[in-house]
Amino acid sequence: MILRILPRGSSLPDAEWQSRHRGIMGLLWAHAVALPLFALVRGFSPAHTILESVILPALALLAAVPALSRRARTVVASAGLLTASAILVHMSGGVIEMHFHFFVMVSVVALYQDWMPFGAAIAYVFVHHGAFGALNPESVFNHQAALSRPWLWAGIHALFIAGISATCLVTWRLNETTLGLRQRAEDRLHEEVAVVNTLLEASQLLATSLELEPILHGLARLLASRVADYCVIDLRDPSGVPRRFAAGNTSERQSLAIALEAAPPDLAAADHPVARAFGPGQHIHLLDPAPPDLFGSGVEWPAADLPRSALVVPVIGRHEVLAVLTLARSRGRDPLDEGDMRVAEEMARRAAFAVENARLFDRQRSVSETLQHSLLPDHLVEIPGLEVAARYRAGGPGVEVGGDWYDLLSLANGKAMVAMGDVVGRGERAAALMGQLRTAARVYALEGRSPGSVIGRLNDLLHELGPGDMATMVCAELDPEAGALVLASAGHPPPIAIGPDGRAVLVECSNGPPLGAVARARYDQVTLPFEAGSTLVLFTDGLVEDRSTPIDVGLDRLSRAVAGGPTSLDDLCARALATIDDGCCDDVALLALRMATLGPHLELRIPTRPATLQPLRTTLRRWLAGSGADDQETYEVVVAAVEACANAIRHTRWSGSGCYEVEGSLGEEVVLTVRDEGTWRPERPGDDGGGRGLNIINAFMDHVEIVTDDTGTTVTMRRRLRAGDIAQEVDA
Amino acid sequence: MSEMLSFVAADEFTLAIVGAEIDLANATELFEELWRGIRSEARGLIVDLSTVRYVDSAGVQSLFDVARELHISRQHLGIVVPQDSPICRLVEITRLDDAAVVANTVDACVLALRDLTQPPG
Repeated sequence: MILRILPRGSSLPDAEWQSRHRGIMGLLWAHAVALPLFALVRGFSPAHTILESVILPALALLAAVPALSRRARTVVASAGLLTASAILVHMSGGVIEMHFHFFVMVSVVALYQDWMPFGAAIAYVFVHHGAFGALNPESVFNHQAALSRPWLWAGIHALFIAGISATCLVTWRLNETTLGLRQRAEDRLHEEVAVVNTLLEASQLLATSLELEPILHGLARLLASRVADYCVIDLRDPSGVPRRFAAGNTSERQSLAIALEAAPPDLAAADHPVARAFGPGQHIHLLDPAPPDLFGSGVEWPAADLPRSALVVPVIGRHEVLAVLTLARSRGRDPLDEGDMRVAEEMARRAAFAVENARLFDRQRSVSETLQHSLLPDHLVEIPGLEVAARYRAGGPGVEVGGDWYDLLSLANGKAMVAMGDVVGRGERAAALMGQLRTAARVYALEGRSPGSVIGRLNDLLHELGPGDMATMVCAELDPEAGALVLASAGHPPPIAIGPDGRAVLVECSNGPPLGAVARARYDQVTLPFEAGSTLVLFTDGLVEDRSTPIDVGLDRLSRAVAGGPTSLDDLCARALATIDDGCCDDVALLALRMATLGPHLELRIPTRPATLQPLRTTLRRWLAGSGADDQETYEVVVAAVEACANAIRHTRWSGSGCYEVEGSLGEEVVLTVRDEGTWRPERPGDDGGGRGLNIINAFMDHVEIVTDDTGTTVTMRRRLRAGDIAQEVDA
Repeated sequence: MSEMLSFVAADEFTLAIVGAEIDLANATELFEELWRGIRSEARGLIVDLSTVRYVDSAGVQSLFDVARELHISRQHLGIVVPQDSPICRLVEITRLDDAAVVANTVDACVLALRDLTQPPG
């Protein structure tokens, strides 16, 4: 009881003791200087003065020796001050009022908040007063009673010293209690602040992303570092596959956590705490001690770091337990407690929101993406003689898909139609509208309408489909044989045409109003030359316009990026996309179309689809135009080539790589080789299949050779042209 | 597809004007369109290839097939190929003229078909 009331002593923080010690030392040194002066004034001889007061600086120096313990220095300094009192009493000739100095000094040494100075003071006063009183009473007392019985009066003085010591003791004790309370309140406050900070951090983390993976990894890391040593989140995926996110608060624990992620728990094991937490009606469990198989048995755990206590917290969504948080603290730290439980529960509540939101977001995004992908062509039609490359880059983070679209189709007359459009707005509605417009554009183009007419019809259609909806679009029809491009635009950024010399120009077509803006609007079209080797670049405004870039600047920037000598269209697309930042928020669609340059040597790789025959003829005619062949010759060579290609298609359409190759060379004679992957034999004339075709080839070409081996069939056809003969005759 | 073929009546015959190049990709379609265009009351079908730049064996096959269908219903096929058309040689090589009346103009074709379908005497 008494022991509990008594203060512990020596409890001052070191810095505080240092500061108080410095003050007390200052006081001691002041006495060491003042007392000799006082002695001289009182008429003591210098020798007596020095002899009596030399003890003070000696004690002061000793109390300053850092090698001594704190307590030793406390006692020495206290003894110094009490000695100063004794000297003062001696020098005043035992005047009783000078004894008050003792009481002042006792109060001063009470600042050390230590037992020793008090004990020392009581003992000092008793021994000093008694001994000196017996030897030389006048140096200690100045009244008769004390002079005659110095030991009795020494005892009385010591008793008073004990009294003031007791008073100081009580003050000190109360002081210590108050300080202790304050300290505990502060500690508690720090803990609460830490909890609030952790929750705030969690809120920030959960708000940064809608993706499940970064959220749960971040949460595991946060809980491992702020609350426990390990945190494992076991997620019940809708697909049924358990997924695990784990973290540890040191690098060793982190590597262990990574191993844990690869070993998700067996949720069928019903007696495991994590499996139980997934069950119905579950709430948080504090496990102290934690079971050794807390995180499953799949991972070798270092014995020194086995979890000591653990919290298993179900993350409860609206309909089911979405996940289970397991927090564990290793041996060597205080076990997890009620406070940690509260934090963990709150975390689980927030995590539940985050997981449900992420799932919702995921579902919505997958719907949008599926829609978008189903509406854009997964690959563009391959048209012999034309090169094409297209890119679609989805906008920055956000759920909604855009309404950018493009299309390329081969028309029955050997021409090609290319279109690029952008439905205003985002989301499923824009994507669905874009799909309708794209299909309709296809139909109108296949009906043989010109670009201006296609756009005009789409404008009418949009007014019927979705009054209030708007879209921009550019549409171009390429006639490779005529080397001409017919172009019309509805409020769309102008395309860029790159000549064979690499010069890039904006195609300024008379830009009509956006689709859906003006009912029954008419769209003019322009015709411009488009020679072999030229490239047309179509794009949506995301590539040339954003919040900080006006469209003029963007168009200029893009023109400079795509200009320059011959380059692959893939490179060209990459250069175009490099003009904008990755994280830009608008969708970007880009399509580049080039009319191949045809030299004397022709090399084509063509899909085995009958629809490619028409553009193939266009390409062959363009190629033969360089040889001086007349119409009849051109027709016959083209028929022969197409007959051979039709055979290749018939025989390999549903097998092999899905392509065949055509090679040609123009010299003294036209040599054409058609190579496919089929091992067919020439059929009898009159057969339904290729028999009649072979007759035609033989009739139209001077020399025909068909070779079949294991890898395929090669038809080689040669024909001398009249223009060549004439040239030779002229030469001769 | 209207682009490929258009029909007009030409006296007692049906005239089908081909407007597209005919190859493996659309030969079957040509046959089906022509077959659908045959009127039972007409005495025959005239296929005008005057503006066609390209026909190959697939197109020729369709024309043979149409001729066979017409033959069943005792009708006749006429084919118009101008003298300077590159297609002339193809018609020759494939012996299309064995199965159909081939003439340089629509009028000539009508006359030739009348001769053929006029009951003797």
